[in-house]
Amino acid sequence: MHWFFRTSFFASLGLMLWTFPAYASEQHKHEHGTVTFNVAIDGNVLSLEIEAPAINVLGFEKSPRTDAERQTVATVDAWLSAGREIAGVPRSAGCRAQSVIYEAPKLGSGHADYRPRFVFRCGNPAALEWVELWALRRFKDVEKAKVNVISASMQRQETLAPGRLRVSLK
Amino acid sequence: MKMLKLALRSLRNRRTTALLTISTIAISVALLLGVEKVRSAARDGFANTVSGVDLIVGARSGQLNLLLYSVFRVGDPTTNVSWESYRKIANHPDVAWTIPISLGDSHRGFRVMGTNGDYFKYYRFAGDRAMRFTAGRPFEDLYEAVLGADVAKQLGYPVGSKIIIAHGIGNVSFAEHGDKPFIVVGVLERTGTPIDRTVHVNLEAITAIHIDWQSGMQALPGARIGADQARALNLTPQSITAFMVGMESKVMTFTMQRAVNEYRQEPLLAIIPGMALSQLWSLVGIADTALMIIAALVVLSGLLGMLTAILTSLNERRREMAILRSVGAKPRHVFALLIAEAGMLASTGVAAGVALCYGLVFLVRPLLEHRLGIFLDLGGLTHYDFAILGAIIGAALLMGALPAWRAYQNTLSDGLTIRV
Repeated sequence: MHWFFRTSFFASLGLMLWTFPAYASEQHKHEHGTVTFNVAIDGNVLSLEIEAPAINVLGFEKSPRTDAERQTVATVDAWLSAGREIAGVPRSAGCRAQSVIYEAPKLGSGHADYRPRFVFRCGNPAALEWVELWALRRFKDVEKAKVNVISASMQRQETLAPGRLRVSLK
Repeated sequence: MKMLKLALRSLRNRRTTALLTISTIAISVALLLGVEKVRSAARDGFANTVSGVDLIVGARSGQLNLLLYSVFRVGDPTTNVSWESYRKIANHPDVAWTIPISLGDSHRGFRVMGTNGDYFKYYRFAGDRAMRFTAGRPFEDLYEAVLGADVAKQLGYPVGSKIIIAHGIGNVSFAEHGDKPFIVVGVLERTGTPIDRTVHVNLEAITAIHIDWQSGMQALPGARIGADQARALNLTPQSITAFMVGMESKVMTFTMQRAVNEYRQEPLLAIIPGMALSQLWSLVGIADTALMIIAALVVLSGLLGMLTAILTSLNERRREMAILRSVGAKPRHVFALLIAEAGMLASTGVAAGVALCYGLVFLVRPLLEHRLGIFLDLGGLTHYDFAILGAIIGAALLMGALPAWRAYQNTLSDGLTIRV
């Protein structure tokens, strides 16, 4: 009998998944308007990874033709490789940028994504109560900001409300 | 205080109506609280089933599909993961440990899972609880099995019993691996998760029992391979159903996930269990909200019932009000009297509802736990519960203002004048 209950519950769930395929799809895909932030904390290391379609970073997704476009690409390259003005955490956490892993995407051949990763080392990780995703301010036409948070005690996924930058890490 | 006493006396005079009104409110409040309790219990149940696992890797399908079949033993995998891919990922320097999972066989309706010793070492549930044995130890030899708490209890198997695994996952199976019986060497403590309903064996044992099987049939008697003969053979499986991964550092989880999802040799899918659960909630949340709305509407109808009862009684109580006025009660006293009445009805109803809800939870708890694996926590009321209950009483007081206003407006002459 219990299997009946369980099965019928999951059968209806399956039906829902089937009717709403968007829910069942994978995480990593190129979707204009959607940017993903992957935040991971382990010990005193905070890692922030951004996955953003070029169109939401540059405003276009082709090889730059005009000087203005070339300038935009150069500015973004400089911004992301410097790793400044990307995100903010409580001052008391004492975080310092440790490394930036950034490779400029190839523009011009179909879809392109920016995937920079920023690693911070924090003197007082217990004070890491939130992170503010400042990078969102510089992105263009973002319709959906997805945030994945991993720490020793949780794995969570949330979508930021429009205009919000702050994500709780507790 | 006097007002309350007076209201109480007046209510006592109309106890049948008052009791009925209170029970309507009580039932609706019990329903609302019950829905909330079951909802949070179901969520906790799911969230508590797996923890400490950074990634689950299986054949490429959907996130939820993989989560459901690998952790909750619900649904079926689309295909398997090859042993080569598994070893390649398991040997990656960023990977601390892996737990292989091989499903597909059963024992009297309970799923049999092939795995390795790391399962007992690293798997966590309900926060940070490790698996513990009520009797015996983890399996070591090829033909040894460890039972979940429910399996041992329902089938009455102590340590040392011999069990035969059936081919496939039906409750009644005609294809059994009768030539290779297993000895129960351990029984796990109750976890309140699907582990309780699982028979655990060595991964190599799954290969061993299928070694002389082809296309779902055992070989003819002459070509069969005995239990001891099988030990001498290479029992490394060719594929497994899925595997769980623990990372050296959580920081590498996303990178590893992407690497697996973009793995060229085989279409694989890596999921982060907590994220997949978040997705599940966003789906189930729709049904949740619907249930809560229904429960809230039932509470509203309960309160409206109370309003009706008080309003109807007003007519009968014209004399009562008039007498009160004639002995010196001011209109505001009459107003307060009726508000107090509504407040008392609602608070008694809410209190009775809470009691009823706890009583019901206490009664159905064993049933839910046994049949659905949902553990209902009897724990106290949460802040959220208190807020809801407070809102109900507040709404009742507000509603009580309507008959109170009516009575307030009625003049002294109203009840004393004899109308023909």
